[in-house]
Amino acid sequence: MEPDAVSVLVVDDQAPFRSAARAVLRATPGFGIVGEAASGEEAVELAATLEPDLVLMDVMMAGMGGIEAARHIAAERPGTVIVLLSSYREDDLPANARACGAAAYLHKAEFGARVLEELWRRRPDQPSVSAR
Amino acid sequence: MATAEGQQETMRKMRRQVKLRRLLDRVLVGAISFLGLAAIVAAVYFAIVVGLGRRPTDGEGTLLLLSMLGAAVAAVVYAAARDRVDRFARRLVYGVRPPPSEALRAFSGRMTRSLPLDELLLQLAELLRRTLALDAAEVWIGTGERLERAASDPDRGPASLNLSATEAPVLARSSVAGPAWLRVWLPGLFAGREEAELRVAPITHSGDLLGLIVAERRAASEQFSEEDEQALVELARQVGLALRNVRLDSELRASLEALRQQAEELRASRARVVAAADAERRRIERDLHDSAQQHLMALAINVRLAAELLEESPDEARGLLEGLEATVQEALEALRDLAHGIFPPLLADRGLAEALTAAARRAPGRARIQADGIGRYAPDVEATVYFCTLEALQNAWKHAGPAATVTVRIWEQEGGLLFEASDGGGGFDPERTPRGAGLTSMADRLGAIGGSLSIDSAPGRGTRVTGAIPLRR
Repeated sequence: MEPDAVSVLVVDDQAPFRSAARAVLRATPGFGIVGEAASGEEAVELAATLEPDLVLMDVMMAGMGGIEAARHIAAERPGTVIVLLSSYREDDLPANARACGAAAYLHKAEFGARVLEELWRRRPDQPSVSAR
Repeated sequence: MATAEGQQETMRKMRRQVKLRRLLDRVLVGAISFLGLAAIVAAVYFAIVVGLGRRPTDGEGTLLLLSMLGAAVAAVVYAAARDRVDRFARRLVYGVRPPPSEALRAFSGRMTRSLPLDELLLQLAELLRRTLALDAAEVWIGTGERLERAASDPDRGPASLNLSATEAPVLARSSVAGPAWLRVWLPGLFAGREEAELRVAPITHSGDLLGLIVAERRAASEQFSEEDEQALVELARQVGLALRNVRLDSELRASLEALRQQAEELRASRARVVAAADAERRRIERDLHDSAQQHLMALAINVRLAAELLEESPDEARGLLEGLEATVQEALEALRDLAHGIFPPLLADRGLAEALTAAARRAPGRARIQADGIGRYAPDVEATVYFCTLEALQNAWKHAGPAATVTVRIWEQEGGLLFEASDGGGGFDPERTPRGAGLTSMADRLGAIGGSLSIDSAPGRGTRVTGAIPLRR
């Protein structure tokens, strides 16, 4: 991983997506994967120790879930950009998905190098002007 | 036999002797008391006239004797006629005693009102005692071979009589019974009133003895007239109807309660069936989401990535595309498993025996399937047996351990399709153990197509789960 690359934490309880995300991040210049988590709880822990710039967070996970984990991470490390991902349509997301501190929502099937770059370019300068 | 007849003959002789002696005693007592009364009256008369007046002269002597004789005769006649005079006097003072038929009418009137049974019986006893001028009236109620005193006037509290299997029908057949008959068939009724004059009318319905009406007079009281006895019979008939109605009523209530419970069970079962269907949809949604959809999602991401890499690094793109075949296979496998879980294709295609044999091969535990003699059935019947059997297998391995061999047998019997899964595990007490979700869902599933489930198990004796489904022809 390049020294000034954007460090990414991938959070998903499904291995197929983690593996695909790994491939995409490997192939996208300027981004590097620093860690993977399979639950919201694990994501909160890793975010505190790894201090990633970007968290790709699955919404539907057993236990704490992506929304709650995003809320924790956003509260503890306001500089972190959090992108919610799921295989559901945006209307099927929980009502509080846009108020948890995440900067964007992405359908998993849309995930790729270009959309990642686009998202990063549009990231909010201040975390406080994000969806909250 | 001869001994028994001999004993009966001796008994009859003894009873005749007792009766004769009682009659003689009554005549003797009457004669002595009449003579005594006459003597007292004469003595008093003589004392008054001679003691307080003067000696009678010649002509007056005859007159005195005649009038003494007259007074004594009057006293004796009065003593003999006292009962009738008393009754006349009572009739003057208390009014006319209603004829027994009156009691019938009064009781019929009460029966049309909705009085509680014990109140009705008490009123009957009071009415009977008053109307027939009894010393006591009782109503005994019972079923089969045990009778209980349900009402009595005057109140004598509860009492009970046990009848033998031969006594009850004999009593049920008699219309009204007197002391001689009762001493043979119901001697227990005389306890505490050995000398009483009793009449008993059995309360029956359709030949069954439901109770007794007991009318009691002291030995010295008025004899029971034919009219009295007729009234007892008629009252017993009416009470029989009333009791029959009460029993029908309580049977109806019991049936209603059973129906209510069935309706409640049905409602609960329907709710469980709906909940199970919802849970099944949720499971399918989760399965779709967690398996096939995830593989397809990764496929979409990787295909896009490969397309993006195609120009800049074609080798990397090729490697990526080659690796995708495995992802496609995984997605297909996941979809196949899911479809199989929704409905096994072999079941629709080849029937129960093959589908279950295949399912048992795939299962984690050991199972022996015996389903040789069965054919093809309606899809709902086959699906029910299939899924219930799988549930029973899973239950058996869960409780008896995965090492246990479960035997599944499916056969046709008397117009029904039956299946059983038996294991040699630890077993349990079905009476004390609440049914788990597995057994409940099996029972619901079977109930939905008119079938039933039974569990045969005991601690240490393994478990056999049996299901039966009626086959529509």
